[in-house]
Amino acid sequence: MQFSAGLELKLEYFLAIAAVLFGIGTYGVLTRRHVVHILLSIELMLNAVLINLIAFSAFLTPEKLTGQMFAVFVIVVAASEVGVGLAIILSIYRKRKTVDVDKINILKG
Amino acid sequence: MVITAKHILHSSFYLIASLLCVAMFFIMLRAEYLAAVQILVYIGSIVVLIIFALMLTRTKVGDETNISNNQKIFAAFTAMILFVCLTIVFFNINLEVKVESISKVSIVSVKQFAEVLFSAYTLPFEIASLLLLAALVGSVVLAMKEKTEENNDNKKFTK
Repeated sequence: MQFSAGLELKLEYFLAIAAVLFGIGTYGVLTRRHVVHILLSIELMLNAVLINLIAFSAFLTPEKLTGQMFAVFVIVVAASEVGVGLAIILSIYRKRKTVDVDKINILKG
Repeated sequence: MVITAKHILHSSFYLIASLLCVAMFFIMLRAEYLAAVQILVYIGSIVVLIIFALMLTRTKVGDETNISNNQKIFAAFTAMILFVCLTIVFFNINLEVKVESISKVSIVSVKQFAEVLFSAYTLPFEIASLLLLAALVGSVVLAMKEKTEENNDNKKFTK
């Protein structure tokens, strides 16, 4: 599969897209009040990291596949993180009847 | 769109779209197996899990107009600073780029992938399986705890 001559995608383009995704995710984590919304934003940030890993793997070490291995483990950790996070959210919701992070202050000293 | 949608269910559907876009990027980077894993794991399980949790908690926060807290400007400032720093770092760093453009990247076959995964990365693979098991047990315990107490309460009421 060949791209047309005018479209030569370089490493920097992928890195820029990943930076944009990471910035959007950061903004979401910092602003939203809903816990699940914050989880969605964290997923966005993890996806930016995945794009970076695979881009570096494809462009810098094309024969070793190190970045792709790391990407697989990042996906595994993200899946388990979402599972545990949602379980915690469910148990907090059962106790407190809210999912607003500004109102969840059980750990306040 | 994931961030700005008013209703949280809409934003999770937008998350599906952006995850699909990331999978497209993986295909462009010649990582077909990872694209398939991305679609299966993220869209197939994570987003579905999030939607299930939303339905279970039956939230009211998403319907309100005030979905964000009052640190919007500060957050936008931080995100912009982060983005600018990342871009500066990415464009000024001197990397030993071995492959000049995307059309010269070789396709990674599943066989190649599995050979590397099960020879050099066997121990991390096992540790990842242990982590998944621990996460499974932990989430089940966390989600079940209240329910058993409620069941006990119900039994008391019936007695």
